[in-house]
Amino acid sequence: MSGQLQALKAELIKSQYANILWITFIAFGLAPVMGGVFMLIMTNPDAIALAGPLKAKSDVMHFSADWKSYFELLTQAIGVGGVLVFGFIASWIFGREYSEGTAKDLLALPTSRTQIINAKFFIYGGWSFALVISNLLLGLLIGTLLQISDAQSFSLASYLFDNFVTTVLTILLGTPIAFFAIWGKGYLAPLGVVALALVFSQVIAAAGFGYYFPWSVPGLFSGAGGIYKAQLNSMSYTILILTSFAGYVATVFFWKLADQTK
Amino acid sequence: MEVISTISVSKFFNKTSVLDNVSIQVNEGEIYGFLGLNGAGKTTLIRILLGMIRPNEGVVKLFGKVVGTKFNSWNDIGYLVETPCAYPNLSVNENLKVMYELRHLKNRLLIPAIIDRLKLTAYTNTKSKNLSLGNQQRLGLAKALMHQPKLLILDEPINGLDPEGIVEVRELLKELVGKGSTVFLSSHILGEISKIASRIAIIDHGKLLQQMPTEELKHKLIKSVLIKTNDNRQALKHLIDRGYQASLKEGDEVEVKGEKAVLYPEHIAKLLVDHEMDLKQLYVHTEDLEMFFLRAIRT
Repeated sequence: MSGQLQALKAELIKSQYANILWITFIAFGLAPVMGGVFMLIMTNPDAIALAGPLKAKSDVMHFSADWKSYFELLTQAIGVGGVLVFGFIASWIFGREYSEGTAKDLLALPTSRTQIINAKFFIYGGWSFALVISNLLLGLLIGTLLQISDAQSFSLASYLFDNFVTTVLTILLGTPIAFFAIWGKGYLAPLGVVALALVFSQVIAAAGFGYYFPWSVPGLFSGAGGIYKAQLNSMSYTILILTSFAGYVATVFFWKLADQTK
Repeated sequence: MEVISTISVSKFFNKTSVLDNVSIQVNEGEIYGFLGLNGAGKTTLIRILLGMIRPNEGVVKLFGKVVGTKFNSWNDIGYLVETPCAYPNLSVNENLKVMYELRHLKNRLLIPAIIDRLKLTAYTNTKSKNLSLGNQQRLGLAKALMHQPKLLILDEPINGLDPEGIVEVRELLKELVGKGSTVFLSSHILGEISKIASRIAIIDHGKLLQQMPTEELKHKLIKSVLIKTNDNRQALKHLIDRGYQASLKEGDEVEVKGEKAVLYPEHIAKLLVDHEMDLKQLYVHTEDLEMFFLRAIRT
């Protein structure tokens, strides 16, 4: 694949000084910080007395002050918050070329258009994984500082597996967002789709049909829907993978074949 | 050798015709000026040449190869389409590095060389969002020229440049052509194009109206004799009686057209003096390029 490495290098140069890079790390980092606040309150009887609503919330979430609950919270943050933050990243990576007027500079080059799109997806995936790893490290740091207790039933391997699968499922949903960025020639259309997807994922999951809606699947898998995780079946994952595949194919073909007038 | 060749290219957006049966040929080593008002179809044709837009009808060839998904000579082409844009948070140097990678270039010295050539050295580490319009234009040209292309396609390249910048770009293009490159240049300023182009084409409402060598342009400019006397109406009568194509013009002048008048204005002077008229002004006026351009697209 002559040219793929160069396309990747170019994307790395383009992304390294982006302000949004740090904004996404800060936004995604709120999850372990908030989880840490929960832990702090739950391990401190005086704080529990003062934070009634938070205690009530933690009871609803079956949240207890141990590593298991803390890591589950981080996984659920990926399944739900990732739809928003990863979608935001995909919107930016693919929409920026139109918003910044640079799309036309990418269309008549020895680096093929498909390689440019692939490099963008690679950066999107790497960026999203980096956010997840950063949250894990931040969670470990906060948990250690708070001296969270071990839960007997906690299996780190099982947790990491769930975390990884939730991450992959959420990342896969970035391809339709990329298509809407290219189709809409900017940020607005994909951000609108992300907002709608997030709202629908919550509503449809609450109605009990989330296992058929791709954007609900990562949240359900992460355990954010509690018992509804059991509803997920092979059809749920097939629909999600097909959605992702369709998004990728549509992005590549639209970028390659549609008239580029902006 | 034909570097650019379009054969009966037409393009519609929805049902609106943007290009109608446009055929042009640009030969190696030419500077080809493509003239038209805003919205005439210049940028659409440039985007078609670069494979960004597909024509509904016709064929486009660059270096004899049909432009399509399999066209692979993009490194022989440098281009600047419409307003030059760059990644705002990247410096001049970093913006050029992006293009360096995407063009698979192997000589790191190309970047400082083009920065120096476009007089951007003082701004090497300046973020592009902080550049003036003129320097953004220079950066756009640097991206187009860095890889020393055989064909340069430039859309309004002097927009935003100050007079010194315009002269520099003109010299730069002449230098490139001197080294064997071919330049396709669009503009709505005929005066500027005529200074560098060896051939010009005029497009209006998507139709190619005229193509001609720039040398031929001067023969196409209308010349006339403009006269002022103490009684223009009487002068007009005498001139018409003598067979001149004369008419009264706004601005209190009599305009006399035709080769007879332009080649021998002294005969007009003698005629009027013989009729005891006071001649206040008589000079041969050559239509300027802007007037020619407007006449070309209005007729």
